Amino acid sequence: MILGFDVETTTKERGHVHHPDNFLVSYSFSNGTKTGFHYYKDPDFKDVVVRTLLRCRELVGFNLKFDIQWLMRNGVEIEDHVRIYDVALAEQILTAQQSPMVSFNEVLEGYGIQQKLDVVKGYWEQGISTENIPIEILEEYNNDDAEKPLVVRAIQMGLLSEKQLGLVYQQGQDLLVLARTELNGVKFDTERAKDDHARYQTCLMETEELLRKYLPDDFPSGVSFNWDSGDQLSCLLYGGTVKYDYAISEEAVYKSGDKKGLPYTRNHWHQHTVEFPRRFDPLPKTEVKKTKDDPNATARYYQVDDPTLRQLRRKSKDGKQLLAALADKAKYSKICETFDSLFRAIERYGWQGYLHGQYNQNVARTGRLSSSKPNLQNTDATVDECLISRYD
Amino acid sequence: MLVAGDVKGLEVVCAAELSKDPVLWKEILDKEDIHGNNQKAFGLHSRLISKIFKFRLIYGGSAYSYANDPDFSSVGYSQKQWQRVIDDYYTKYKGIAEWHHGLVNRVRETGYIEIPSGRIFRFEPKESWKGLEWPLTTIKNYPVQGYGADLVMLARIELARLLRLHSPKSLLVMTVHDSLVVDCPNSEIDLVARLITEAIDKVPSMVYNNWHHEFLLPLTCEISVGRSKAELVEYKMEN
Repeated sequence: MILGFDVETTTKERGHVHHPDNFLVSYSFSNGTKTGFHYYKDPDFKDVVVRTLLRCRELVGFNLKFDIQWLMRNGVEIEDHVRIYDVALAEQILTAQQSPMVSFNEVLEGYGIQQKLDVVKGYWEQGISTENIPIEILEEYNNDDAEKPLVVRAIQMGLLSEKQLGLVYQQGQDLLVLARTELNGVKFDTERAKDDHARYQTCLMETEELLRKYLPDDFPSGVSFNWDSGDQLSCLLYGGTVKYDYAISEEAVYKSGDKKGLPYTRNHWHQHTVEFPRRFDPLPKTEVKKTKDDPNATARYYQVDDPTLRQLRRKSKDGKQLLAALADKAKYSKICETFDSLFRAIERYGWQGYLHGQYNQNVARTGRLSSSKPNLQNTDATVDECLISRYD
Repeated sequence: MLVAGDVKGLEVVCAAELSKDPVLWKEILDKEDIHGNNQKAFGLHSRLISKIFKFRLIYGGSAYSYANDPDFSSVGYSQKQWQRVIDDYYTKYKGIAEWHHGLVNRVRETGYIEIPSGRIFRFEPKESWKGLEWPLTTIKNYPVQGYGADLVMLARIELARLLRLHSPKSLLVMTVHDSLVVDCPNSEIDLVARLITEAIDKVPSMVYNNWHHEFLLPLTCEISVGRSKAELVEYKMEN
């Protein structure tokens, strides 16, 4: 039996499966001619899904990892006899990986199929959670989301080669593995991470303090040098002019009107032009495109990315301390940002000591997995020290 | 403990499989020190430089990119000197040269490449100051990356099956590029190391069963174990 499947959940953080406040509200199965809707208040809510999956040979849906993780969270496992056909993954194969994170409506539109019902979306936009949506409206919506993937599958089957179809099914099997891997999560040493984060924040502040010594003596006190601006950094290293607008507050008194005689604070805007001396000769072929391609440009900017600065450091006799400090700043900033993103995810999704990053099968054009929320594939060694075994 | 299995030389093995280059093929089968040998043969400064050079060339690196790459600035080669190294490399690995050439020709004729898993990559020429140009680096790069990803997918599926059967307390917790990371009780480290090795060993036969493509080179892995991801160190399995 080939079944279309879709779940509806409560809406905290878009129904995030790890959010403790979310729960499964309903699900629908469809075999193309008959569709069954099941609501969380039904006495046999969980039993029906288990019984139905026993008879199911292939489960069809759109972005099924979400739906399957909700089943897993409710203690329902997909057994080996069930093949997974994910319409989104098939679309990615059919379009040579050029439909990253495509929406279901975009897929439907591509095949000339009527778009999803949007009544429920209206409720969500009003802040009404799924369990409070009138059941007959939810049923119609949920059923539609279980039926339409079957229609798309039938069209896609005619377009996929035999090998590609095999690949789609293997990706379906992989989807089950990835769903479980995400649910398992990797244990995160939060206490150590907080200590490391604080330590690197101190390092970052000290490095920024050191870097400020390289600003010209006449650098105005009311403005900040933007260390993340390529143009400003280019001026600091290779010389140039930066104009800063800044406000100086002053006390004044209303001279007329209802408030006449009352004091207020007003901003006086000033512009300060800072001349940066040339500390380094730019490396050949490193002028940035926007000035290279503009013969009338009044200023010239050069690359300040990490590889260029590393090369500059190797080739320069002087100024190595400045370049080393810039490299340190980049490193400390990256570590702090990574920790920040991990802490944000933990707080946002209510995770308890584990990171449940997502593995995305339909993002990279090469077909490789990507990782997000948080990205666990490109972590710094400092962060890696906090990714620990749960068994120690 | 965390137990990680990294597929050894995944990109090189994929390139050898896809190109059928006999020299690279033999080097892999004979377990030669490919990067060390090439360092001497091409007069490169270190084994590491030789290794990075080879990986990038498999991915379509050009003399210009090597000459302007900070990683290679210590070598001090000009674009011309790097072109000589590339020419020497392609002379040695004629199969890789012909394969790269064939990929570009196929894309120019049809606009796409298909790899043995059935995955297709489409390309279009892009506007540049020289006129319309095909993305040569990407054309050489995507098949290796995509095939590697599909092979790791097969390993992941098999490993999950083996863990469920033989070590249910052990959990796959991360999958990073060519690496699979399992969290397991200390008493099951050796078992998990064996299961990861078995899963990766099995990939060539899975390629044949799934995609009817003969994958003749062995896929091997390096196992490392540690309390944290940062502390992973090489692990030798008990006999």
